[in-house]
Amino acid sequence: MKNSSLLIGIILFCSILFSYTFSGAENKMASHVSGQVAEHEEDLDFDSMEFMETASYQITPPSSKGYPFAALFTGTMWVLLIYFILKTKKRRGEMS
Amino acid sequence: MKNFIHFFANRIGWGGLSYPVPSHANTFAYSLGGTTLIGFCILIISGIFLAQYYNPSPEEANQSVRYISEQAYLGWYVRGLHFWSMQLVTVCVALHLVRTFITASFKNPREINWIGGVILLGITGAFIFTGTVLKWDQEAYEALEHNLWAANKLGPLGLILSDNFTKSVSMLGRLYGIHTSFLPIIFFPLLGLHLFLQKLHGLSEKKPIENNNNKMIPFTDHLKHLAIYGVGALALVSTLAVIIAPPLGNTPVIGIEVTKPPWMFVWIFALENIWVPFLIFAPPAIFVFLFSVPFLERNNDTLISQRKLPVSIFIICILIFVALIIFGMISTTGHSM
Repeated sequence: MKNSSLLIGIILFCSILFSYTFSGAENKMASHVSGQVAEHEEDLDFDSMEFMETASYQITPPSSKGYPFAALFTGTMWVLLIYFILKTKKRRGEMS
Repeated sequence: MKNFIHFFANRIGWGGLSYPVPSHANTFAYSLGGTTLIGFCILIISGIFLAQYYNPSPEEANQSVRYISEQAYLGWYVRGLHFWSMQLVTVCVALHLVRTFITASFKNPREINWIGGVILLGITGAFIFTGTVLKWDQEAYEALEHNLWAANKLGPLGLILSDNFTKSVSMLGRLYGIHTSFLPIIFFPLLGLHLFLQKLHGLSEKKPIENNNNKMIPFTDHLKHLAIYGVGALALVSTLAVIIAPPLGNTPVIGIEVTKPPWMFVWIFALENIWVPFLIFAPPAIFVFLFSVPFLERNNDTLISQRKLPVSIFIICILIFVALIIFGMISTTGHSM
């Protein structure tokens, strides 16, 4: 029970970190950029709106080069993992 | 196939690794160090690939990362593997440290191994910092600005980390050298020492010795178990790499501060919002605290019930750390360098 609670806690915390890294990325830019740019407007020679469009963090779509290989490799890893887990469980069952 | 494996196993001395270790070595908590090592292996292999395409010149760095993501065959995938493995390593290292403290595994005779582990933690942080700067977008530039600010404040002590050290190579070029040469050169001997001391002193007991009734298993069995964790780790980071590409901003704009650091450094950002010089004092303070742990708690108590005060202090420190991370995430920039 304690282990399950700990695991759930870790997963929740990792989810917060995950959402910060990605979905929050553009928000954090948007919330600061306008103020910061306004503050530095006299020193900077670029258009603030253009900057907001170009400098915000975008999750770039992956190129399709080698996508089938990457997907096949990933699938193989999952199949291997399931195979090893089942094999270990079977061996433990035999030992007990 | 079995004969073939047997042939090699005999010749590389696989049997020599069959020494007994406690069966709890195969639990998740005691496999975190091994999983971290597997994560580092993925980082090394993917890093070697990325180094073939990366250009550490400030004018070209961002474009070369973009080339990796968009043009190089499987570049987007390998960069994803590198990024996600780093996230995995960070989480595993942190949990490994917490487990080591909670189970009192740093106590006599493992003090030196704890200190070695803390140094490895620092080097891991340096790997992440330099790696963040290498992509040379706004986040990277601002991370470097903070580094330079701290280096200048430290005066002669910070000279090696400042851009005044040399004018012949860009700071980005030097950080690339640190990321790919200097840090690995000090990391691997220390890792070797960490593993050697682990072998020398053995895995810490899960219970006090007098009540210990743990079963023993061959170390090779633990290695097979770690291989499963390795496949699991690879499956996880590979899936994340296929689904989500790591963030990459455009070439930095000089003179503004609009980003926050990656989540593992965002606690420093939160402290800087309170008092900017925390950037200089907080990381060394944490490392001094971690180094001193084996000297502050010198008794032989290993059960949590016997160590209520140190465990409580440690948990409070973790909660403060987590609170700072969350505070850093939700707060807006209240400082500038």
